[in-house]
Amino acid sequence: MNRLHPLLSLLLALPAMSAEPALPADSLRPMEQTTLGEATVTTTRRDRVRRSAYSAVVADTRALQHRNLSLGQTLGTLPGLRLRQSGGVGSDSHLLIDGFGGRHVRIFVDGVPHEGSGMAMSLNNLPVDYAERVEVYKGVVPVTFGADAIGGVINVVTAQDPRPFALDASYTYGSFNTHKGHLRLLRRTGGGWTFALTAFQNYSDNDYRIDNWVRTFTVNDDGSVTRHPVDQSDVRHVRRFNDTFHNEAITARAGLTGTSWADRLWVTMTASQFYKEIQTGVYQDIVFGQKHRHGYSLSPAIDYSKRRIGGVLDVSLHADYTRNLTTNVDTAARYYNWLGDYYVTATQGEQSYQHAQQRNDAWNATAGLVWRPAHWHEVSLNHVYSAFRRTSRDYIGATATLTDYTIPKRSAKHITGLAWKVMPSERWNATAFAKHYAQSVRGAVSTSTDGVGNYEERHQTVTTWGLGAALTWFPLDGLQAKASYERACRLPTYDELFGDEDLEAGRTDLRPEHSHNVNLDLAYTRRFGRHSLRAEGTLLYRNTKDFIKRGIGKRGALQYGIYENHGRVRTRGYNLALRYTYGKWLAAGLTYNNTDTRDNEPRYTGGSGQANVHYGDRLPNIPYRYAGGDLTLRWPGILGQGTSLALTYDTSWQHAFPLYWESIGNADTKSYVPEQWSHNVALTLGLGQGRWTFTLQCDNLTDARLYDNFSLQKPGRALYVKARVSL
Amino acid sequence: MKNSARPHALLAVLAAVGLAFAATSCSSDDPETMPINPGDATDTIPATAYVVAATVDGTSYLLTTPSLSEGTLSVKGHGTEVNAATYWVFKGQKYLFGLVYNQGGNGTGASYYLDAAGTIREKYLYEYNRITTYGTWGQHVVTASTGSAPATQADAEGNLPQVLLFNLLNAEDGSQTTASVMAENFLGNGEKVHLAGLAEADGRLYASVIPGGMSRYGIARWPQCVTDPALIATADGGSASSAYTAGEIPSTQYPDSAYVAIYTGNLLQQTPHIARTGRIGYACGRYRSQYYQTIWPADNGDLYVFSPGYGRTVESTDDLKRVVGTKPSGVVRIKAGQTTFDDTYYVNLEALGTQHPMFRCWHISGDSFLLQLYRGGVDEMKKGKEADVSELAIFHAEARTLIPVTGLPDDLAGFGGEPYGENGKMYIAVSVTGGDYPAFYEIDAATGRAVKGLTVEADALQTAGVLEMQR
Repeated sequence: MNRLHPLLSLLLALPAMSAEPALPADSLRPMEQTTLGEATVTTTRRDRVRRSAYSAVVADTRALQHRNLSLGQTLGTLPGLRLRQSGGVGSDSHLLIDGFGGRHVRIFVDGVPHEGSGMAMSLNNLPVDYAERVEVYKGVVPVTFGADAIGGVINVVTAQDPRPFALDASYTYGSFNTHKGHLRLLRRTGGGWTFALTAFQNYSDNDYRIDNWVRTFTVNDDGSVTRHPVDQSDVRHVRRFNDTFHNEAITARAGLTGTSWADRLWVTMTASQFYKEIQTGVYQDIVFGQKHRHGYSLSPAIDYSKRRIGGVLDVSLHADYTRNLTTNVDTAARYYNWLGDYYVTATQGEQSYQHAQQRNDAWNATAGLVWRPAHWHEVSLNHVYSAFRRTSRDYIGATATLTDYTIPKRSAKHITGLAWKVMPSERWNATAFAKHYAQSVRGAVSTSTDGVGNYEERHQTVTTWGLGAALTWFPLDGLQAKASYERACRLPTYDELFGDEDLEAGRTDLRPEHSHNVNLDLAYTRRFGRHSLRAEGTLLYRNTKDFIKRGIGKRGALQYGIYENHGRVRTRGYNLALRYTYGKWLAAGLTYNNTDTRDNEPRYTGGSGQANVHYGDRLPNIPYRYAGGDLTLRWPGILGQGTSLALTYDTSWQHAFPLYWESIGNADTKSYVPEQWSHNVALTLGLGQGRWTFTLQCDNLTDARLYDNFSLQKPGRALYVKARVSL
Repeated sequence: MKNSARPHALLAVLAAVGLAFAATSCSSDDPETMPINPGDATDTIPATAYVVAATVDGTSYLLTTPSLSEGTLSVKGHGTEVNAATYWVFKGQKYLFGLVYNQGGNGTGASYYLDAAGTIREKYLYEYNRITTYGTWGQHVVTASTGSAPATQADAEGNLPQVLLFNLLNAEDGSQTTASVMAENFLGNGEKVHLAGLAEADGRLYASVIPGGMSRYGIARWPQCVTDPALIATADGGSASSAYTAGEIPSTQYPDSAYVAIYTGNLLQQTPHIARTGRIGYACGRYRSQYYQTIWPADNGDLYVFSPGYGRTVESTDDLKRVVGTKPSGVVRIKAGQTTFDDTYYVNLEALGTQHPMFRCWHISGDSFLLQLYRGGVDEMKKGKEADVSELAIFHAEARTLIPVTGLPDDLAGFGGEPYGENGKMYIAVSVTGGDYPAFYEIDAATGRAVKGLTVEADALQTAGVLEMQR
């Protein structure tokens, strides 16, 4: 474990304090709320997660809804979490939990798996207004989330508004022609009927400037084209021109709430669509001018839940189906450079000729039972069924005739969990659980020499089990300790097995990963007078084998990313978070994260006794040391009763990390993602007890060159204004 | 060389190239001399080093070594980190080109040189489309691929023709020229073609042309070239690069012929001379969607054309009728300066040695070639990507003899990349399962005996070659 940063040591030496705060410790709402009941409900649910035995953090997104943020961005500020975006609005993003990448993290919305919902509804394309809070369980996951997730689970909780009527609306306008809108309407009648409508859209041209050399060309009289040599030191500040993204989604819900036979019986319908232009390949020096993709999703769902049947039993059921269709288009017979200049090429396809439609069908069904025979213990049983079916077809020729659908690729998972929780006193509670995973995968592979014909349907069934325990106790007032363990597993995702048919290639013979995950947490809360302080630290340990790792260029030097069972990996890390508030006027926070993920496989995998040359090296292309901080200053009553002005500054720092194995090759020649430091500022005016807010926000204040991934530059300085009303 | 907008600029360029080629073709006998101090009259032999391309987890590292016959190298802390290349091309002894093969996608590659301090540095960055094959010609590295033409070239029914795309990468100034030629009816038999192997010899560029059946465009335009209407697919099928649609003939009607295109001037402006023989099948190695070069010039300029005889692996079924070939693995040649195959020369490789069909081959030096064979015979060949290709042999072209290679390790796992031949010795990278790191084995072309040479601590080895220090 590395030494603590000296600044942190200093902060932790602050004297202990006592007494109650005026506001919940980390709320950023600019005003005291008269809608106190609702805020208390939020706080209670957030505190319940904190008080649980699981190593979990909660983002109170309600407090951030005046800002222009995506849900992914709100999570990126939590300890242990890192968001990696490859560009602006709508760009490919991955959330890391303690160094574990996007594939290790399972996303749930209201307790239901979110996989297969399509790009329009992916986490980083959902606005901050979409959720009331987001819970993140790290490494050890409760059975209520039937998931195979070694890194952890993110649960997006949409508004659980008990009021009879609610309206939220917001509009954002900003740099790069960005427009975002959100609307939520809720109506509950006296008879128990509930109607809810949520709609949102994002639009951005993403025409920010990036820094790259430019390749120029000349079209010769004889029809040939000469591309001139490139001077890589001649870096230009060029504008992106094929990066427009927009998505729109609407969810309509109707049902009963609070009847005698159902706490909830809802039918929901979600429709969403997206359009995304693709500006570059995996590296920024490969430019496209017309390549794009678009798609839509439709998803009906039904939910039923009833608590306290016979006083002791809770039941919840859910089922949904999602159909999504994505079309990848790369048909332009053009070559573009970063100036937007192009020439007509002799063959179609900027990267690789493609005009193909991919269809995914996904089914989810979950069933949960909680039995509470006595006040001090409860048993939960959970089962999640998820299935996917994917097929594709092409448009061919100039007439764009559609070919037949290919043989479908299928995958089905059954995950069952059983847990027993004891909570004999306010001082401690503990849970023990066991999980069973079963997955069946089917795909067709050509076995003939030239890849034509002789299809064999490959079928693989994998079953495995997991178990774990979690314990928390409160030795002193304000002090909480937690310890948790899980033998977790992760079944290969359908993207690893089958690819997304464009920039990635897949394989069907991956084994599941297994991991021993251990968390130790300590949290301390102290209040006195108007001051409030919360400090929390987590120690984590993960021992993973059959690690499925992303590697660029394995299959004979392709610039695609593919996955493989790499071997054994050991992760040791810690994260620290501090939060300080002073009454209604100041709030500040600091997080620091360090994860050491090391290659623990002594042999070069592949059935060989050959030694692994990078044994003991840190896993490449993973940010391993990063920190964040924020500061909010508030002036309540600045324009009179019920108004406020708040200024927020937040910053993020990331240590440099290598693209490839650290110890291999001459260090002067290696590729790195450089050290990053970014700064954002926001100014918010709140009126009418915070019901109306107007925010002016500046992201990347210093116009720094920011990269979360090698070679893919994020936007420079950007300004946004957001107006929001919440009734 | 600066490009201008005048017509026939490319011809001028290639004429100059031809001259430059004539000048450099003597370079193997007469090393360039570079005095240490300019103006110093003393000639000095230039410093050269062997360059090894090693891979670790899909990334390539270029290392230098004084010898391939002995010693150990390690990538830990050493080697220039570069984008992993699928193909490495040594452009004389001045540059090493790393070409990235993307399955269907754009590639970027670069050229590297050895600087005065003995470190390998990047020289120029190039981009090109998907590579089916590559070679050198004069000042250029040439890559070729086949793709669909744009909609403006569609026929009345909306069918698109196939087009051969060439990239000429200028090694000296870093520029590159792209141009295209119709791949439809390239051989005059109505079929669309791929190129598999570009070999430069004696002022000419030879390309092995592989016919690939008829597209819908081809059938509509040259219906007389359809030898049997039953060959036309009635339903869609195939996958990825082998996908086909109804109305096409997905595999060639001429599996038992070999074609070589001969260019003597402007690659893109002239119609090449096509030499054809019916004594062997099409001349290339096959593995999934890759086409491997099997045409190589001997040191005296004679071009030897090898064919594994893949026509035999085609399966004709009721759902899809295809033409099945019969020719076994064989060799023919085009003598230096000629444009037709030499009638007096034919060798049936399956009548020699272990009588196994070949998979791939490379030139060593003189008139000796290294052959990689299917250890399990023709049945093994039909197993496609699961086949055991661990058998090696040396073929002496003039003597028409095949000598087995002996001395390879018992726990052989596979061969890496492209071997390197010089002075009657072939250096091929060998990986084993027993625990040793990969190593180059030095095979004596006269005896077929292999001995272990340089060991490299890396995951795998791709190739080796020689670079001269650039001052």
